[in-house]
Amino acid sequence: MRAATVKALNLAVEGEGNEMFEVIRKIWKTGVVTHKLPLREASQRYRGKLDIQPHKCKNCGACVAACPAGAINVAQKGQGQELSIAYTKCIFCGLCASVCKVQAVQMTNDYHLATKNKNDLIQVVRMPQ
Amino acid sequence: MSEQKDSDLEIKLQQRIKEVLGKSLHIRHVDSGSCNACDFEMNALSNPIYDIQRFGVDFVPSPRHADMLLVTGGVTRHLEEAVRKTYNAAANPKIVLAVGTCACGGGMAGQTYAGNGGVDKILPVAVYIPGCPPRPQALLEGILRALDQYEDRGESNES
Ligand code: SF4
Ligand code: SF4
Ligand code: SF4
Repeated sequence: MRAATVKALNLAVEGEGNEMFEVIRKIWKTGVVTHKLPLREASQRYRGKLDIQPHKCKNCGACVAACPAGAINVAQKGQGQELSIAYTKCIFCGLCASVCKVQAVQMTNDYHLATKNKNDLIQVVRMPQ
Repeated sequence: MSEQKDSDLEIKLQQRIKEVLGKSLHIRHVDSGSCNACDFEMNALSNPIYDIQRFGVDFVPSPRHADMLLVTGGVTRHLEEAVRKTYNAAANPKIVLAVGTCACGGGMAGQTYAGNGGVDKILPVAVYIPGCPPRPQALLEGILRALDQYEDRGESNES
């Protein structure tokens, strides 16, 4: 756009009026081409925070075995079990979601994970008995 | 998020930077052994689409000029000293952000003989931004969160 403006000015100096108006009209038509920062949601395909639905989980352990980063852990807690995901390790590859046959783990497009407290990076879900 | 929230955040960030720093926020990027994906996302912040300069945020080539360090990678053994030196070279009050899963806790590699498994093992980290790599918007959110506690950090750093 700037190059076009410079051209228009040059033409104006040289006195070729008609062409100058042509260029200005072109600029007018093009309008603003820069976008504002798209801070809105990520696209649906974006792999962000995991969504775990404990009531669906069959406790098969396939997701734990599939995770290349070792981010998922299942631990015995009292009567029930706890599934924890560490975002300090998770690389958002989506393998856990793809191996889960009952879709208890799903990827969401939520990317708001920045935090001051490191403990927030561990997502713990209690499994119902 | 809507357009309205976009501009709200824009104004909020600008005001906050003016409030804490008086002028603009200067960031030094430190690569401590990342795979470079995080670094590219950070570069994207200063392109015309994300255009972080409009908030008064700039990337500088020297830690001497920086208020904030964005550290990517899990701090490998070879880069540990460089990270320490960079931190010491930055002027007070300085603030460290861990960018990416590697910087937050080691990521894929974790803690090994060659890597420390996280920036917080070496430096005091103010904000963790997980993601492999995190989106530029997530980085921006992290920066905003860090500015939130800038004053507290300044006092603790000077003592
Ligand atoms: S997305 Fe990948 S790294 Fe993250 S928990 Fe699932 S399998 Fe593990
Ligand atoms: S979340 Fe899915 S894959 Fe993981 S243990 Fe439960 S049922 Fe199995
Ligand atoms: S967090 Fe992921 S993208 Fe960033 S440096 Fe580590 S491996 Fe690369």
